[in-house]
Amino acid sequence: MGKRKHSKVSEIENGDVEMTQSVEVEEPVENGGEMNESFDGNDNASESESEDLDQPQDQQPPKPQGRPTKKQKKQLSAQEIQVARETAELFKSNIFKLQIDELIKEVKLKDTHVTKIEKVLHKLHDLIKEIPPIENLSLEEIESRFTSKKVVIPFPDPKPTKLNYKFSYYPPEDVSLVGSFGLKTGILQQNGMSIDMALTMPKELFQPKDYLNYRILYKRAFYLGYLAENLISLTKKNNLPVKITYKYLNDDVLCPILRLESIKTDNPQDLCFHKTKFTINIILGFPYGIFDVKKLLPNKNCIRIQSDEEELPPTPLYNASILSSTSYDYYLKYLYISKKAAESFKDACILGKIWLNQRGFNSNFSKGGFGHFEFATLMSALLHGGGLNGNKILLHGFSSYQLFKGTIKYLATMDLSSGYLSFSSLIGESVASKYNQEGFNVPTIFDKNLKLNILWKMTNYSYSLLKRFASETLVLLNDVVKDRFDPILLHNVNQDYLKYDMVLNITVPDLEEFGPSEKITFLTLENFIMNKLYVILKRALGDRVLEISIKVDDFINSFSINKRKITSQSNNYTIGLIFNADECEKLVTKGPNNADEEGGALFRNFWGSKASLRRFKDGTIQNCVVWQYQQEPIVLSIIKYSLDNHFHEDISSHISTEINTFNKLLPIPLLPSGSNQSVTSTTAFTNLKTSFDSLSKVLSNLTLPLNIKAITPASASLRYTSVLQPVPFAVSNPDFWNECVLQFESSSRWPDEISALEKTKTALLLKILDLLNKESIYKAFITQDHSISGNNYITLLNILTPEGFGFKIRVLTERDEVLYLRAIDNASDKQKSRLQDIYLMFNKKYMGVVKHSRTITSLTHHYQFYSPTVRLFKYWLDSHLLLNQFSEELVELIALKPFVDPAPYSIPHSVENGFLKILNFLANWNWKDQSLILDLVKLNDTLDLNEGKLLEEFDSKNLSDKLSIQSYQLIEKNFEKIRKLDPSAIKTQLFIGSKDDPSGILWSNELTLPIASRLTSLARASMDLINSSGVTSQTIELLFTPVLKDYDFTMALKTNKLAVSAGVLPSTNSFKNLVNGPSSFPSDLINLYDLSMAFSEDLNRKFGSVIIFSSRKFGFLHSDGSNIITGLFIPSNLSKKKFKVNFGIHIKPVDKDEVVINKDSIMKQIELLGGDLIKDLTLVKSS
Amino acid sequence: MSSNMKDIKGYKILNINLNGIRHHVLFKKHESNKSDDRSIFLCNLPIATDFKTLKKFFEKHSIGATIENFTNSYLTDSIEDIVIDLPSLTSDLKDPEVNESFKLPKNCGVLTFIDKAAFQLAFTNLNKLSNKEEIIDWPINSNSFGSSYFLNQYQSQILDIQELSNDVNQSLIDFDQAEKESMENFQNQKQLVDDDGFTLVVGNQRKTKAGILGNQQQLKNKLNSEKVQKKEKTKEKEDFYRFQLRQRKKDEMNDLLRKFKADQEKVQQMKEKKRFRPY
Repeated sequence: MGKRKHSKVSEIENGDVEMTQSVEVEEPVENGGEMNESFDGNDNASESESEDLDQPQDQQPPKPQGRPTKKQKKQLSAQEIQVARETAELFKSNIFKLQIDELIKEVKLKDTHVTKIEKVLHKLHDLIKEIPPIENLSLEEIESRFTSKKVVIPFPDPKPTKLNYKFSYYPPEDVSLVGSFGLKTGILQQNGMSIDMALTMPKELFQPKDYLNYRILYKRAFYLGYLAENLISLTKKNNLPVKITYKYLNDDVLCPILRLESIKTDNPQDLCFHKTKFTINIILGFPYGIFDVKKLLPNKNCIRIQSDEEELPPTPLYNASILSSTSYDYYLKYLYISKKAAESFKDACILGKIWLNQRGFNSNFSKGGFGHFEFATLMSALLHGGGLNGNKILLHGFSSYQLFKGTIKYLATMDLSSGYLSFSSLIGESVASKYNQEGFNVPTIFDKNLKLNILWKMTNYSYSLLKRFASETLVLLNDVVKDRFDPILLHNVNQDYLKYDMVLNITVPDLEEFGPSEKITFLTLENFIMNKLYVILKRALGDRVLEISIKVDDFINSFSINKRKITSQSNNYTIGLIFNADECEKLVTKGPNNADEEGGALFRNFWGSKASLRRFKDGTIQNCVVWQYQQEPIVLSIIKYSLDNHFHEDISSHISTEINTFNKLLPIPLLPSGSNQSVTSTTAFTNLKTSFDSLSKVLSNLTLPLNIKAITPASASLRYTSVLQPVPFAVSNPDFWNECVLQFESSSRWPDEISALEKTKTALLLKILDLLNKESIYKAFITQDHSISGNNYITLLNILTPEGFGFKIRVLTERDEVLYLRAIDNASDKQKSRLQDIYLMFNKKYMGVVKHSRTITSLTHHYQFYSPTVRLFKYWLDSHLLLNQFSEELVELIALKPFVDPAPYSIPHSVENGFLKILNFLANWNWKDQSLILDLVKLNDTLDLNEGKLLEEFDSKNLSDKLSIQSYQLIEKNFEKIRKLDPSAIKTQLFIGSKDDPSGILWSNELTLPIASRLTSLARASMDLINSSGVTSQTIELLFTPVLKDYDFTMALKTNKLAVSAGVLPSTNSFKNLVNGPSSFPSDLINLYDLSMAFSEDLNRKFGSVIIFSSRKFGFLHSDGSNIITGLFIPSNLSKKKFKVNFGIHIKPVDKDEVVINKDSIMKQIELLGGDLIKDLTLVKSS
Repeated sequence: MSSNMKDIKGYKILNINLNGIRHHVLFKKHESNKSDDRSIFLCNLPIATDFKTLKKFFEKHSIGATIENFTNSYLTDSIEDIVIDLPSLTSDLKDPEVNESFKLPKNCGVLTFIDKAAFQLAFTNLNKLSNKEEIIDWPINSNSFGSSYFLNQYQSQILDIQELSNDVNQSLIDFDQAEKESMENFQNQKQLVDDDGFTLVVGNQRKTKAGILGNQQQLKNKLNSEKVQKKEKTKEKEDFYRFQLRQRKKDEMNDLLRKFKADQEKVQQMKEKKRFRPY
């Protein structure tokens, strides 16, 4: 007994150690009080529970008697529970908190690097102090002293000519570290982190009116040039080898700074810090409060120019640039106070910084003008209010996750453009931040104290994009089913071709309108052009687009110290557009009512000759522009037209986009309107559906021994996903026959044995056939079906409709499944797994496909671009000879991923975007470790996210048809089970679960490892190509070019010209009008079938166990219109093996009892088999 | 390969010339209780080996050895590597098929001669050819393949209506017959009283033993799982005793803790995979 007690005591001791550890990790308990007013509001119940749990903790240490040890043990676990529970409440979930911790650890600056750079900074500080003052130089003296040989003064435009004041240098008033390094929120960054060092220029250099007409900027430019000149020599002398360049702070051309980069030397005396990847920015600030801030309000003019107009335009950028130059260390103090006041402020800043970084945002003009500083300031402001009545949005006790989420939520739901947030940065004075609904229509967070708009570097479009990202992230943060950490913080989502539905490149010629008054408003030509483009596009496209984003290509913001400024930026611009799926392809742009004369005039003025008046069904007469589909998206036509008219004449010839290259890859149906239809048109599919509907009506009306209960569609064409659009009488289309599943009314009389059951079905089909041939214009016959291995008794009823389509009817009874399952039960162990496969085949063909078709059909109606995207994806697979290796359903599910689960991107609204997102997903999908669980719901991205309530409502409403956590976990468990048995994915590769198929393997069961790996590697190669060479017509062509050298042999087959009879407009034919599709069924359908299909099936039967054969499903669509079949010997089969009779493939003996496969003989037999079908057989690799 | 090989594991090797390429057909005397010593077992046969091919072959190399029939393996032209006999697996009405071709491995066949003499003649000649290591032309008809062959495959899928309906009628009659017989057997069982004094109860819907037993099994399972549990549950009060409450709370806590630990582990794993690199 004594012994036992002893051991328990030691347990407790261990426990104590653990306890303290866990406390360290966690939120301090004293925050608990504030947490009651928790942000999520739903924690109250659980809070009280956890308080219950607290009680044992508060008790006195238990008396050393019998039971206490137990109690103590419980106390320990209570403590641990507290940890676990708290993380679940303060953070989204345990795992989310743990992941945040890891991420923050991962991006932490290395201590050794920090120590090193601190040494550098100290040295630099000393060196700056050594710089001798200089007084009263005139402009002329400066110009003669600073020549382009060494250092040039970085005067901003316009370069000063005659000045009546002198330039001086006195040592800076103050040198301090600002920015994220100063705030200790710096993190590791891709291209190294830059450390901001702010030097405050001394007061005596300035006069009260210096803020006018660049005067203060000229003085600063001199100060900077002089500093640079001295630092060059000083650093050299003092063993601090650095390269000094000029750089514009946050791309602000008014604010040049020095950028110090370490040079690697071999001298051990030298203080090198290149390994730390740090760079140092020396920023020159003005003393705080030196000017009357009211004069620098955004609506004031501070650059006086000669102008005919009465009032000079305001100069908001200029004003803000000067104001923010006075506030570097001021804001540092402000943020520092917040950091001290809120425990998790620092971590939340880091999260915000990473989040912005992954989305391509930072404080630079060219990167949206919203970065770490703006995020931190906003968060500070929200700690002091931010609501409509100044109510607090964030509380000081919040966890990093809550602060981050609260800020994201604020960004997502409050419109800072139509309204604005005002706050006061004055330290010590607690003025509540307040949201005002009346705004300035520019993004604004206004510091009442400094009269500065923190968001002055943002444009309307960058703000709008930021808001969209925030909304999308908020949805992810609210997701309770899936772990969304990766898309929120780990994925870099800053690739234009994935971010935008359409990317335009535009080369802008010299514009004449950029005069002095434009210059003082926009500062740079680039800003002016981008603004002009935005205004025109916004007006022209209206609701058709959700986001417009414009940027200069290859933007430069640093330049050599012997240059005054950056001579020229590129005149190429990239415009990214996110479409509104409901509007973008509409043919009519509606304007104001006829009654609205003023609006009408404006409308006509904008649209010119295109504007017209139209009467609509409801009797209203409206100004309209009617567009015609001209083999390019309507949006593109509008852009070209409006820019030609309002931006620059003939600019449309300088616009390039690849959106059409992708659209044109889709085969054009041989229909009267085929070449002039929108890419989202589904007319051809609808015709097929109509034909199906009338057929099922006819069938249901037949008098049969058993009535028909249902006929359900089960083919790709019937769910809008076949590569070729259905064209009447197009017999050569491999998808010509549309399978349907027929169910009779339930009956107990189905035979209880499979062959007899199939024969009974056949008897019923024969009856239908008889009636159809007698009583209707439908033609019918019966074929054998081998799609379910082992069941050779299945027959299908083939029906040709007068509309020119073909349907194959298979019969499902309630007996089938029972019998297949029974066969598994009765099978021997050897057969069992094969019989399970057979059951899956049956399930697919008879049941799965019906569910799948139903789901996909409804989703294609919702996601308009899904149908063309999945068709292009199938075409891509076929180009690489892979389509035949996958079931179409599997391909459709993969293609669905970017639509139903777009995070971290948005739902694709163009074929290009959708297709590239599929490839991107495949390239990154590690299917060995990750399952793909699809929530097959209709997402919407045009929801008005402005209303926070609406958002939550949307969430709870959708919850009903969304996957529940339980079903999600069930599917995930299925995956784990499979991976436990098959960790290296030999048997099961792609796991795709959904509410239709929780097993996750229904459609991917037949896949093999080499094929799945090939898919991944092809997708990776494609994405690498796109990332390195961009989306151009050349890269697109390469994307669709197969790599044939990877196979052991390739066979070119005899050209069979099937395109026309498959209902496809041949690409080679230039006289499109002269090609006519078939208008009736040929007497013998079979002559028009693609023989290469039968060939490759036969090859698989005969040699499929040792060779992977690949061929195209749509041979006639590619290159010269003929198919190829390639073969790859499965490597594991090539080695010597012991001879067995059931070897299964042709062998040759090599040894006493060993054999290898007889490659030569197999090749010969393949050649014989192909006979006249083979045009050319090439052995690629020598064996 | 070594050219001097004449046999492997009891099989003789016959070198043949397949349109210019060396191929090896293996053969031995077929040993089976039915074959009464006039059959040869052939292995590693080239594609499309059928009665005609072999007849041609023996006409040339062993005149007088008349072939009675040739049984090719069912698997030779099948994508499967084992025979799946679904009918016998789904019902005991159908005996496992006694079809010989089901038993043969892929690319193998059994050649039966008209009589023992013919067999002897052929077998001796084959042995001779094998020993001489001569390369013999294989009478494969290279013109029978190619487009016409595949066109035929498509054609053969379309079934003749008359034949089909005859076949269906006949098999359904056969099935009814078989079912009836089985039913009668079964009814006989119904009369039997077993040791415990029970008789088997038979419904009149499903007529086979498998069907009935299957159903019973299901029913039993269902009863066990749902009803019983439900009943048990309603009887029991879960919050009556203090210990129950305490236990529940404890379970909850342990559960939470377990999950927390699991999460920690998961994150650790992710960390090892270097997942937390944002760039």
